[in-house]
Amino acid sequence: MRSTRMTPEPLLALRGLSVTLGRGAGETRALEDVSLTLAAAARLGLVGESGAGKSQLALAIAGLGGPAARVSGSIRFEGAELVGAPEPRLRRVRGARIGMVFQDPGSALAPHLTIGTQLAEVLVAHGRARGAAARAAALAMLERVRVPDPAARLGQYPHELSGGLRQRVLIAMALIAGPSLLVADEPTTALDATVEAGILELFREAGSAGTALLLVSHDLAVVAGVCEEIAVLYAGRLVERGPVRAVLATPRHPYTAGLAAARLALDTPLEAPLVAIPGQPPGRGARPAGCAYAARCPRSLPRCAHEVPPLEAAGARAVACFAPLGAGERP
Amino acid sequence: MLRYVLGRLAGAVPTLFAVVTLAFLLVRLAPGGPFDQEQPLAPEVRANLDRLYGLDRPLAEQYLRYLGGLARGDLGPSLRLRDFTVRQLIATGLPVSLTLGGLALALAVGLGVPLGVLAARRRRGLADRALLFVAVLGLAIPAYVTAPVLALVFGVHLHWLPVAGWEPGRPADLVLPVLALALPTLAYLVRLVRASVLEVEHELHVRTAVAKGLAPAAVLVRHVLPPALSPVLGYLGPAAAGILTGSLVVETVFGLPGMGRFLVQGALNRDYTLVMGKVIVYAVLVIGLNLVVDVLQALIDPRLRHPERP
Amino acid sequence: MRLGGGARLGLAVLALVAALALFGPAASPWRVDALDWQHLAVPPGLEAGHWLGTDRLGRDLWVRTLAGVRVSLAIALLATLVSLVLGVGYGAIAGYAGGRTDALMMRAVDVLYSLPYVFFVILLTVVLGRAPTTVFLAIGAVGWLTMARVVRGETRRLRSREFVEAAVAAGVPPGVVLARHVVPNLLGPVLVYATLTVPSLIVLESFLSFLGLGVAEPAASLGNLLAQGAQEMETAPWMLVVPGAFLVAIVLALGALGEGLRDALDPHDA
Ligand SMILES: Nc1ncnc2c1ncn2[C@@H]1O[C@H](COP(=O)(O)OP(=O)(O)OP(=O)(O)O)[C@@H](O)[C@H]1O
Ligand SMILES: [Mg+2]
Repeated sequence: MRSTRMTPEPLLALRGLSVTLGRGAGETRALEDVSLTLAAAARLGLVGESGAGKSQLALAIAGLGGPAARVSGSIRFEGAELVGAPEPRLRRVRGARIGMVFQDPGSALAPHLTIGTQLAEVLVAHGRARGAAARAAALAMLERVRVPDPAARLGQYPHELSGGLRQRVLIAMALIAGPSLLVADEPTTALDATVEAGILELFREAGSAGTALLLVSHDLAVVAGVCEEIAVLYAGRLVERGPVRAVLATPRHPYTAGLAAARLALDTPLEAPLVAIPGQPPGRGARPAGCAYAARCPRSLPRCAHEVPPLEAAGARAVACFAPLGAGERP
Repeated sequence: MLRYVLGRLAGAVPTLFAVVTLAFLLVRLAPGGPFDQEQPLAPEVRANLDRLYGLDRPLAEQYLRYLGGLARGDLGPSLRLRDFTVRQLIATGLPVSLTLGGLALALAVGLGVPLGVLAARRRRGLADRALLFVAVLGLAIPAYVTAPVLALVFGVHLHWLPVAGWEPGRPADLVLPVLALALPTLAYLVRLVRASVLEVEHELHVRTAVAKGLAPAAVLVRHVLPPALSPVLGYLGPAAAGILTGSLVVETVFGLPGMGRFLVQGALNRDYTLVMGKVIVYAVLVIGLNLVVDVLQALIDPRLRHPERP
Repeated sequence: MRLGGGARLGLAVLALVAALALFGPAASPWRVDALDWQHLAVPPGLEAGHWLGTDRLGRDLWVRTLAGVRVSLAIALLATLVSLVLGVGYGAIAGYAGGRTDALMMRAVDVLYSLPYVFFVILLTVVLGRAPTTVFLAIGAVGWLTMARVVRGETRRLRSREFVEAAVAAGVPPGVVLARHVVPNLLGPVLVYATLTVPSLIVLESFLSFLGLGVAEPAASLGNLLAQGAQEMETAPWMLVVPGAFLVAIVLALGALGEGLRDALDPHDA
């Protein structure tokens, strides 16, 4: 049932979401107590280092972690709980209400089915259209994502398309049933820069057409170019979130500040000393008792080693740090 | 696609030629000849026989003659069963072996594929473990044990089915031999299909299919099975040739007049023409079936439709 | 690499069977070919001193079966080794060379594949005579074909991987790239395939024995014991059951080990 309160429920709300992978000695917490909301038609970028848990979060939303991923906490989407929801209900959400775009369009498309079949399949699965109508919709969708010569593409196989075109096809597949949320996990990482710009344009368009976007990326520039809001993951925890411009201009978490500085370094002359964040994120399994960033953090306090800083909101922004940076302060 | 098939067909001719040549040379490698029997023949009788069958000519000439005959579809006379030509022997034996093998193949595929899929779906579950156990038994126990055990249990003790014999129009004759023949292939298929399905289920395009909201049956049938069955077809090609050309053990135990015994008997008796006949039937089947498999695999996976090797 | 419970159990069973095969026959007063005229075809039991019974000629089945296990395991292992060396060498070279060389080499494999394997085995035994060495050579010479195909496919995949390309770009000679970078990485799939090959080779040897082409009497192999047992299964079922049980145990254990190796080498698995 939809909420009828004055302030409408957000499109997507994660509460205390945790994901555990593996068993026994190999057990890893990929996500720990993540809370996050996304309004309808909003565009949120999720950033973090490799292994931070970005992909696990994207997969968890659609319940795609597989049997290896144990999910706890709550994921409310369009007013209904998804964690623990029966598989048939999840199936009605997947593809129809939540579209997914994955990193490697080469392996994400079925090699043995034509583009047309793979697109039409979504509509058939959700009882929207079939036969010629589904194909017509597929054609229209390929036009919308600006695939050149769309009619010919319908009968082609993925290996006959370039990487950029395949990613457009994957996006078309994610959007064809008119979902209210599009989750894209590093959709441009496998593509070169010129192709990337065109793909990002599609995400902006989808946003203006009313589809909310959760864009996973390790590239701040991509997020800055597409999203309104940003959320920063570090070792499975959300450490900062807020409007993109504000967060990048005046980061409050030392880790975000490090990321922003590392990005700035790319724009500075080559002779300038390279700013990288020293140290390594904690490895699998070995999670420190306190803030996971404490060991690398230049501002860490004694309590950071054994107490996990909670995510505290202040206006539009939130940060999980006992010693956040002030405006314009450098770590 | 047609060009692809024609290209493969053209490639099959030299292969067959090489097979015939190699087999011809290899059978002659073995010491002794077709007319060395327990009681030695008089030298002049032997010489006559050799002359009659052209065995006194140089090997190269015999080879060319054999090829000449082959081109006309003539496989020559059997050197030990001298009242018959090899073609006649094959003409009586092959239909029996084909019937038996065809049914066994149908049973093995019809049961092995679904059971393999079931085992993969229930990975590590009770059904999976039970199926794997039975599959290992099926592989480990040789046909010369299963065949007589089946005959003993269902024929001699229970009297449900005939133990031996072959009369056209008596399908009950076929039940036990088909079972015995199908068992090892069935067992192997269960393992192969299981492993293959598990492998494909990890592929990313399957995750995409789930993310699109497809029902589990659609994911399995449209996204998992086609690529998973491709290696299964690759195994079935040569395996089918073996089954269709007859099993010595099964045909002996159940007294069936197939062509299973041709190879072993022929080789032990140095019945060169009989051995060559069976080898050629086998090779034609292997090459033909591999062609069919290649075409099917190319139908499944469009990336294979280019003529060069993958 | 960590092995699961099933694989470890398989390994334990194999170790036990191997130990029995090595030391078991010495624990009995009987020899492999000793005839005990007082006890012809006695069922398993303790009274007669023949723990697993005797065959028609009064030969002790404990001793014969364990000696047969020894011979069969040795033949299967050696044959696997033969097919491993031939198959890995041939397949790696074909896959690494690519192009025309590869096409030609694999065409040769296609030709050999189109001949029934029994044909080779019979010819080899006929030409070389019936000795266990012939049997394993014959079996190994057949087994390498499949191994070569498996290895070629793997090599082609490795060939396009960065570390191999980097080595090639650095000017390392092909032989060294093959030996240092390709062959070690083939080990995983080859090992898994080998654990699956050994059982099928044991069964193949037993088929040859059934044809009278395997290990010759009075020496024992699982194959000739089973072949004899199959003929006596109504009157002396233990003659079939005893060697059969060992065969099944070995094959099951190897299967579990292979499955475990596959899982352990499988990067997908949690
Ligand atoms: N199948 C798995 N089994 C066990 N641990 C896993 C598995 N998949 C991922 N992990 C672990 O979960 C954590 C989060 O992984 P995730 O893939 O979400 O990271 P990511 O932020 O997407 O990184 P990247 O930028 O490299 O894609 C990592 O520590 C990773 O090692
Ligand atoms: Mg990721």
